[in-house]
Amino acid sequence: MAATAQAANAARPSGLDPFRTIWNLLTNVKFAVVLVGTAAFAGLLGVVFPQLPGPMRTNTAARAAWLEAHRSDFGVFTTPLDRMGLFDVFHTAWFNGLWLVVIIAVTVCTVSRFRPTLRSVRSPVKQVADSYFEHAHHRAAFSHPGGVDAVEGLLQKKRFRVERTRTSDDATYLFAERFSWSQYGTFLSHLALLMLLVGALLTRFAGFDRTLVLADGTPAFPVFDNPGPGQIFVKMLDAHRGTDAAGNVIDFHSDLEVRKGEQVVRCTATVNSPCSAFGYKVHQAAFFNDVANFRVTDSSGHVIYDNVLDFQSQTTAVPVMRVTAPDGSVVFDQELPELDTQIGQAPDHSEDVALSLLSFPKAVGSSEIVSYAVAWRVVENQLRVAVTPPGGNTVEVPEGSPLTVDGYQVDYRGVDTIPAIRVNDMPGAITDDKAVAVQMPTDRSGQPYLVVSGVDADNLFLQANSPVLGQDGYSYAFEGRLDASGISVKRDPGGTFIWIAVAMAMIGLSVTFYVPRRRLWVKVTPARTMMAGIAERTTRFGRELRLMGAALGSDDALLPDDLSDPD
Amino acid sequence: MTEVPIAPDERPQRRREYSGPASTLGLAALIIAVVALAIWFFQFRDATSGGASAGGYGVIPEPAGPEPTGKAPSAEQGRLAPNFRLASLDGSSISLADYRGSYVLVNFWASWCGPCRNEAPDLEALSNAGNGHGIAVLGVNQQETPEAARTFATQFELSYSLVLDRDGSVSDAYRVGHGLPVSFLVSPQGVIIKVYLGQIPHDEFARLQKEYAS
Repeated sequence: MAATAQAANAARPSGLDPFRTIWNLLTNVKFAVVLVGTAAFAGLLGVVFPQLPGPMRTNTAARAAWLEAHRSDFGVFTTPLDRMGLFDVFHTAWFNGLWLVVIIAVTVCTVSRFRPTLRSVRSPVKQVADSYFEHAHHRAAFSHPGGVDAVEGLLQKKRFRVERTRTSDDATYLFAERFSWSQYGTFLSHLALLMLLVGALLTRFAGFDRTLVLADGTPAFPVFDNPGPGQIFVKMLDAHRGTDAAGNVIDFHSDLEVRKGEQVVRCTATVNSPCSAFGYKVHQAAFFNDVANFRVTDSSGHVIYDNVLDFQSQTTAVPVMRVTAPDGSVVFDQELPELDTQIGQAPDHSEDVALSLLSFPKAVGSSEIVSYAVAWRVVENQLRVAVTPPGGNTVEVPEGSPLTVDGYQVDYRGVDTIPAIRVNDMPGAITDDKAVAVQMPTDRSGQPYLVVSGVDADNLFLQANSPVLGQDGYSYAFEGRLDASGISVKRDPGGTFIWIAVAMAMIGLSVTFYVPRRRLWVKVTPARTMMAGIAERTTRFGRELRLMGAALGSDDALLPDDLSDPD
Repeated sequence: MTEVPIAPDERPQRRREYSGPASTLGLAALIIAVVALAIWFFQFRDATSGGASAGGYGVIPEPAGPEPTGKAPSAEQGRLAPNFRLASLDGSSISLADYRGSYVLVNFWASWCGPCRNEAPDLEALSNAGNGHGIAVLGVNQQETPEAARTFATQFELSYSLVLDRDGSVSDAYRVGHGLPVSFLVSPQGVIIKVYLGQIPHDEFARLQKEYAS
């Protein structure tokens, strides 16, 4: 009945109205539930099924290889699943289409709510039929002294806005309401949902996030995949790692130069304080110290390799050894890099044995070198180390339990991981694939050096800025370790929308649930006052009305439980 | 006396109202269109358009003369290489058409690109082979500053021509993105003979020298 009365203002369908049919569907609650349920299920599929990595999406060959790799898991279903887009759910037309329908439905619903809400707040129904006082969900009837003035006075005291709407011979009708604006709360919550979807859309389609690893002094690196006037370059001027007196890192920051065309912005970025340039936020995301400058020149002095060697966090485990001479002086105390590998039987290389040479002066200051062969392999997650002195027997050195070998105390102090990587196309490489292995351990004084295996019959040990001549006249130079930062370049135009949406949702829900909205119709006759009103269903507005009757001096307003009610 | 409703609407704020296609669906469509426009603005406001850029640099029309493929220029094997004019490191301008009559390897590079650095000595060797009768090398730097390109050229003692694609329009026309280096071997008639994606292997340089520089 109420709905019939209220909907009188709405446009009525006249014959076949396809727009009305579409509107009916888009504002149908069951349809909304099905839609959101389907979208959530689709999202679940995207989590359950392995998804094609982003960079492979546009590369046909890489995509085919990826699918082949997963054929063992999905068998004959691989191709049908791929055709349905289940390996790339979040980028399929059907998934995006589904969300587009959700967005349209939410937009239509929100727009359609605005008019009734506005009308209800600004032009409420101020008069109701007398029968309403008999049937309203929240109602009270009582006798009291003071007549209509007393009722009006009480309502005003309770912060109601009161209006006399009708006066007849035997009755006066009042309309009163409190916090009518709180009806906007529900609308605001729905608008928040719409804003949230808009924010998500903006983030999804117009957002950008890429992390670059930039080393000190290396050329400016482009941010975007495709060239164009909008291309932005970021150059690392100084990747700074500040330490306190105890060597603890207390400050990471990067001094950057950001360039777009001819415009240049210089700024400092930290983890919590990004710098802004050309609409993007540039954060410090990580710090690396496993980057080396490496240069090779040919016999005529021409540079044939000059590159930054980024170990990309690849490491190898090596033992840290200490050798104490018979006179008690420490003659060796540092990481022992791997110089060769004895390939084992296991195809997964779990039986491979790393080989190295523990070379140290016979005594401090002595030019005579003593060398022990050292081998290690991982057994049950432990690095087991064995040492063989010249002409002697191999002995295993337990970690932390020094052994005396030929009068020298050999101590396996623990395991370190050092940067290690294979580098392709190295000039002078003697391997079939022209690849060499490069490790970057630190020496006893903590200075890094490079060990290059595969460019000569022997390994090359490169101290910083001390070139070493290899075979074929090539000269190899380690030009020092570089500090590098992971720099995150971000743009999230949807972020602001999402924050606003969250604020709107909080305000909307708070208003809806906590602002005590009341709308009240009162009929005052000389004999009796009748009140009926609307409030949120969770409130006990009827009891409030009866308590008002009691406050007016009525004897018959209250029900037995009204005063004992804990509320 | 006006008609009094039997009862008020208990929950008007939850009611949805159809007020006609324009004010209901139309308004919703307008909101969605505005959001879509905003997304488009954020996403594509920096999009480029082809053609020559400021100073007459960029992609330019083909020189007059016979058209060997009968098709429009395109960065594909067997098609006429898109002609371009760019500033060189010394400030002069060089166009691809200047190389008509000889083989030229158009190499897109940047100093931040590791494989480009590895490839540079081989390109230098190729350009020096054949005493001017072999393959010319034209290095197209992708959007770096002249200083960066000059540092690179000095570092590797490069003598072949290097031009600056400052706005990326030539890279765009050749569909060369982030994945550098990319090289195009162009015939004396201006037709692309071969496209090299990534660093050209040493063996291929040897083959090129043998085939074209001898």
